[in-house]
Amino acid sequence: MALGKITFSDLMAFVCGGLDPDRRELVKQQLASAPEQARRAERIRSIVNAMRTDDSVAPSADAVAKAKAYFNASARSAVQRWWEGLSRVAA
Amino acid sequence: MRGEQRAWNTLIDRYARLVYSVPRRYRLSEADADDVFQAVWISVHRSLDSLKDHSRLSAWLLTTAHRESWRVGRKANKYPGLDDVIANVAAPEDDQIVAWERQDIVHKGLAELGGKCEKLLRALFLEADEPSYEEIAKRMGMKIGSIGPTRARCFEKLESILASLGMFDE
Repeated sequence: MALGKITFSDLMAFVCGGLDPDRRELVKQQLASAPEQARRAERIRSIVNAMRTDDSVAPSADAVAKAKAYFNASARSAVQRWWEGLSRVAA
Repeated sequence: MRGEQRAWNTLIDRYARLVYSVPRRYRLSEADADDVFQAVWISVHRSLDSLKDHSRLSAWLLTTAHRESWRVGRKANKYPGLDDVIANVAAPEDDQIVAWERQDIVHKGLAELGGKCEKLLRALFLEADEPSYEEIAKRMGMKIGSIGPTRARCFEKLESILASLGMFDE
């Protein structure tokens, strides 16, 4: 069976297991002699793996707001320290 | 000063998930993970002048979050398996860092992709209960037969975004 050009859908189905066995074998054979397509299949695999193994968690909005406020608070305290130092010199 | 605050907010928005995920992966409670999260950003703030290599920032954040997780976890004295989970206190394994960075980049890529494509790919690849095509089609008002081709089209766009975000850089 002639496969023709490998499409992105073929590569996705190859990585995700959506091809029938005959077509899968044809894609596999063609990838063996098409390094650029093989690299692309590996890219797809790395994205799919990253998503399938994803165990990341977003912080709460409160935690993010608190971290953002830290900069403001620390900047203010730096200004305050600078002002106190100046006041001491002036006195 | 206002511009610096904006830059600080952007920095936190960009890396919040990456940082917060570390203590949660080590099974720290939400409260302790919040403490780790805050401690990391205080550490970043103190190190701003020395953090010149932006390309290594995410690895630095992961390592700092890793060490803070161990410190907060030990102090809390309620995680008996912590020493096993964090075998090397100094830093996570390199391949672990790469895997976590990749997960984070994918989230950024999906957010940039947006719209129906983001929703579809999240449903297909990220939802823990792995909804069926029927369920996804119903939820998104699509025909089941169009899910496959749409998935490929959306995934191709995502691949391009992830390449621009440096996911495949050596």
